[in-house]
Amino acid sequence: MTKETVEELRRTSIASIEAADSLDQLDSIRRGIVGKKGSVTQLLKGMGSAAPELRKELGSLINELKKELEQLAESRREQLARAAMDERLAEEWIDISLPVGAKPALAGRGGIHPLTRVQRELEHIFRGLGFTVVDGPEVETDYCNFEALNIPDTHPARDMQDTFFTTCGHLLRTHTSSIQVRSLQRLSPPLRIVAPGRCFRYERLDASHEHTFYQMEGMMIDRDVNVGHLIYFMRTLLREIFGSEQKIRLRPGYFPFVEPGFELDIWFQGRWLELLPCGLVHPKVLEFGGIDPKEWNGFAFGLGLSRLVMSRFQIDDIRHLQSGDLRFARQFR
Amino acid sequence: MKISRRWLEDYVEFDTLEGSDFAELITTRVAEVDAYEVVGQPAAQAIVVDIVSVKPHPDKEKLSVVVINDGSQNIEVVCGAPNVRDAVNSKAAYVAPGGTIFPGGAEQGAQVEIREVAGFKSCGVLASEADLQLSSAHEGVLLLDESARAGERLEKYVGASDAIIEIDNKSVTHRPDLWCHAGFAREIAAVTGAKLKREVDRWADDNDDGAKLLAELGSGSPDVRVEIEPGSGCRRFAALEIEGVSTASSPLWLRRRLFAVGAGVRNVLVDLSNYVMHDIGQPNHAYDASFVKDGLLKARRAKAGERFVGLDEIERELDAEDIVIADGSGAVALGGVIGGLGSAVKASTSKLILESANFDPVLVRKTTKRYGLRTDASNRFEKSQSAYSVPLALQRYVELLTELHPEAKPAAKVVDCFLERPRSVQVPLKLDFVRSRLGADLGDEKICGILSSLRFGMDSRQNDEYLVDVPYFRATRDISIAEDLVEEVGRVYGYENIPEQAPLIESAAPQSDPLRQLEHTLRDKLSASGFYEISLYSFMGGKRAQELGYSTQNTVALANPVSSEHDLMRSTLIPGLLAAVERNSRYFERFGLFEFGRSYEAQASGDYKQHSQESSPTFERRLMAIALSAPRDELQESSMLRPGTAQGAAWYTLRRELEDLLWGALGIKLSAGEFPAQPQESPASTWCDARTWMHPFRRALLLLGDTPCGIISEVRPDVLDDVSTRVICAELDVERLLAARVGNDDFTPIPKYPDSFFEVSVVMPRTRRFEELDELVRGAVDEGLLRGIELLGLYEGEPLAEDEKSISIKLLLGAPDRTLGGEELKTIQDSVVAAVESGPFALRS
Repeated sequence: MTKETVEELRRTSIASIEAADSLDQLDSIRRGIVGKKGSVTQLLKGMGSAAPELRKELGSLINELKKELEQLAESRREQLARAAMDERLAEEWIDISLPVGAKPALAGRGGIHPLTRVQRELEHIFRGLGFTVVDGPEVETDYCNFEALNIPDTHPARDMQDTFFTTCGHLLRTHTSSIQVRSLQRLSPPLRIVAPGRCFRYERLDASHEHTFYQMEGMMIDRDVNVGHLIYFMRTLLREIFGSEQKIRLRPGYFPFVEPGFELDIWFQGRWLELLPCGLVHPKVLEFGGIDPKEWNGFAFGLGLSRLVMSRFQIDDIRHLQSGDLRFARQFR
Repeated sequence: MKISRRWLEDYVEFDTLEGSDFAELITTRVAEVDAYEVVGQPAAQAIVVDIVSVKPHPDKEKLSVVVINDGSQNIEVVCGAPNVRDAVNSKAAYVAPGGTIFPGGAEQGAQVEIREVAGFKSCGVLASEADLQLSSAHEGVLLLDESARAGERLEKYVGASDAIIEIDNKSVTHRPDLWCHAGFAREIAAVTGAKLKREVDRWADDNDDGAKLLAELGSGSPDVRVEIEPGSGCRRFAALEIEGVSTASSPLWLRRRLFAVGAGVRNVLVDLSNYVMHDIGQPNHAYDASFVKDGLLKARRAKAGERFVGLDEIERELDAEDIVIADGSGAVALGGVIGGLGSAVKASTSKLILESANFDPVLVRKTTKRYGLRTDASNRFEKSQSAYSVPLALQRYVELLTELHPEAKPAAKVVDCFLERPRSVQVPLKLDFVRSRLGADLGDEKICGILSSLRFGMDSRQNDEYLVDVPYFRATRDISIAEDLVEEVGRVYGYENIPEQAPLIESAAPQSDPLRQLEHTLRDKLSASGFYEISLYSFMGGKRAQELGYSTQNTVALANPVSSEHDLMRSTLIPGLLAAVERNSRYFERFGLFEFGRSYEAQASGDYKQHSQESSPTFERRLMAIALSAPRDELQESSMLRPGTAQGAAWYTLRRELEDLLWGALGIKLSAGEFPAQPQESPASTWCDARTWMHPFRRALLLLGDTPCGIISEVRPDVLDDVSTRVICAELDVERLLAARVGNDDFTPIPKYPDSFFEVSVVMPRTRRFEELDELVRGAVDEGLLRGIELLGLYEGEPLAEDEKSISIKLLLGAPDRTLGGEELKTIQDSVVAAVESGPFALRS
């Protein structure tokens, strides 16, 4: 046995694999080459007849050949399978212009995602209170997500939010607050906006942590806005959402883009639930938005929409929300 | 961060506040309390016992049989601690059956029982410090000194139970002063009105008195020199030599406190350094003086490539932005972050140099991020500590060390290099501004009282404007504008005391948002038709996308994806939707799903108008995706389809669903057309080309007039895993749909004259399209007379040839000004027949 023997076998095997034109044929060819009694296997078994000094080299050559032929057979198999499928699919030709198709496709009613449902209720409530619903990009600039919110690059508050970055240097917004400076620049005061939307934080998933979640930002800019006004709107909001007066707690909370800053908790099922970070808009943020803080001020809040949905429907695992699982979705009609 | 209640009580009296009330007070006035946990309770049940005798267990080598006396009787216990063997006649801590211990420092408590251990009855437990939640020491039984008396409660010697208050670090990100017990004590005094028992701030040298105290801390000329290279980022560097020290272990009370705040324990010199930091907030570091070369400590920037081995025994190659402390031969500490291994306190240390310094918070933070190395010291420095806190650490360390070891004493006066004394901060404040921002009618006295209690100086005043002096420990970054003071007053006053207030604002109607309205309308209609809305991730896997036929050019990639299945921002909703179909196929056969979501492209095609996202860094497309899964056996579905064929029933159904949806929501007519023969490679078309996942004979481009607005296709069975149904998917661009909305809703008069009609059946090759027939017929009839063409039926099979089909249609005709006469209809009918027969079609007889 020599290298030439191996090379010869390689040539003929490749030719026969490539010549196979049905899956059955390919299968028997494959077995004839790399199967238990296949030609390559036989060659390996016949190593004894080779010159001893060549054995090692030949052995590895044959093993490589075996691997190569197996790969080739596999890719040929995929080709043939796809071709066979194409042939079958050709029989399924339909006339895409035929004006038929009757309803219903599905029995009964479908449903709307609970996040959408709650978001819509909130949009409705806020529109009633004179707030315009706005949108912003989910892939954001560092400027809108951090810098203009008074969180410079060197600020420890950046650690409060683990961030997804894109390879071109942008980021996935970590909060809907990124809409603040966009709105301030685009609209002129007095203004009232809410911005519901998807946010991202780099987190390991578990029942209470998701890297994808929803918030709703709200902001009101007017003259002489005070903490009492903020409390008024938050109470009104919670009353509308829950249908009754809620026990709430306002406590200090640190966010560089509000001053003073609060966390608003609601008393829910026997414990305080952190729901609404809020505060009076920091004068620096107004300046970033091109608004004179001596003339205008206001409040902002960021409602944890996912959290609200979970408590509202008593959903035990946040991962359900983005699961696409119909067993979850069909409970919301 | 953890705070010990007993430790706080060294500083301030607040006995009246118990557990949850205390946590609530801190949470609503100062910072968020994550947990309030009582520890060391087993010590309350433990008593002191005499060890009467110790015998080795006859079989088990590691066990001893110990007879103890609790002051009234002898008791036998079996004990595994090695230190008990030499402890005859010593005093030890004992918990009787019925008590609770935390064995070896376990999270969960365990009840002590009378047990049979290796053949001996063991009545109770000789407890370690860890068993009693006093420290982490679990190797040996807690032995007490001679003064302890058998039968007495252990608490008398080790102190009562403590409570650990766990503070949410995020809530004190802006408060460098709150990273210690003294700082929390100041706040508690301010919010409760309690008196402080110990005033640490008198040691701060932001005033002459403090400077004098510092000068008196030691005497004699120092051996050590300190220098700061200007621009290095070190703002102040002070050092004090202390001689006569030894590395004994720390007393239990000290270890107990370090344990409470989660710090490790080494020896008294190192432990005190930690203790002082948790006590007054200023990080500090003890060097063994004999390992500091040339008696020099110099703060400078690291040389690029300089190597340094920290206390964590890791060697790092430093960056030119790091601050180091160097002696005559090289770096001995990474400034503000970690000490060096070589110069650290050792068992042989007899003289130490205590460093207390201040560093630029930004540089410290960069260094910690560079090496992923966060320490208690760096955590404090990056919050911007005041340089005036430097003396506090020196004073406190000396005070505590000399209390414990009177032989230790400062060897010389403090050497202090203070490059630039921070200026005091004054904030102009009108009290009306506080009232107006809070919306609360607080009296002048109340406001001034609150600010004074927080150490703000309210002495200087011009007319109605105060010039508020910010205390040194809050003047570094935290308090700089009047709004900051509003918060101080508000939180101490209590936000719950601020009345809610409806604002007087002009009533303006909010702007409408047609895109949002459209999405909501489409959702309503789809759900009414039996589809369920789902919400999926914004990510997709590049590999899977390519398998499905999507180019990954022009996609937005994540620099730090959670996994390779989620490494790109999705450029289409289809891959996610297909995965959802696969998952749901395990439980359902016939179902419909839809999602509204965004896709992300690195850049938009030039002609695309974005809805409301000016200057968005990537192009975000608003998409709607729908999937319909129906049984594979098409005969089963055919009942849905009338008139016609079983073939493609689900496909037709979804297309009809979309047509009705858009007609209903927007008054626009959707049509299905062929994909262009060549895929377009422009970015705008990435989402609406023919793709590998599509069934090559059941796919179509969705068009509004000539404008593509989406796709519809059956999914190839070989791209889905374990799905036995037919799956039809569609994806549409919602903004394009909105743009095509028909604005004209003018009324069209109802025809005065009735429709006439006739029917035609045509035999045509099976793979020719209805639209060809439709076109022929329309070409043959006066446009003004044709009111519509209806499909009546489709037939395949005998007696037609195998490759033929027959289509029956009904033409609806009418004129605005008359009823069409028989003659006129006949003419039209003839021209239709002639047109049909002119092509490859034949009239069916």
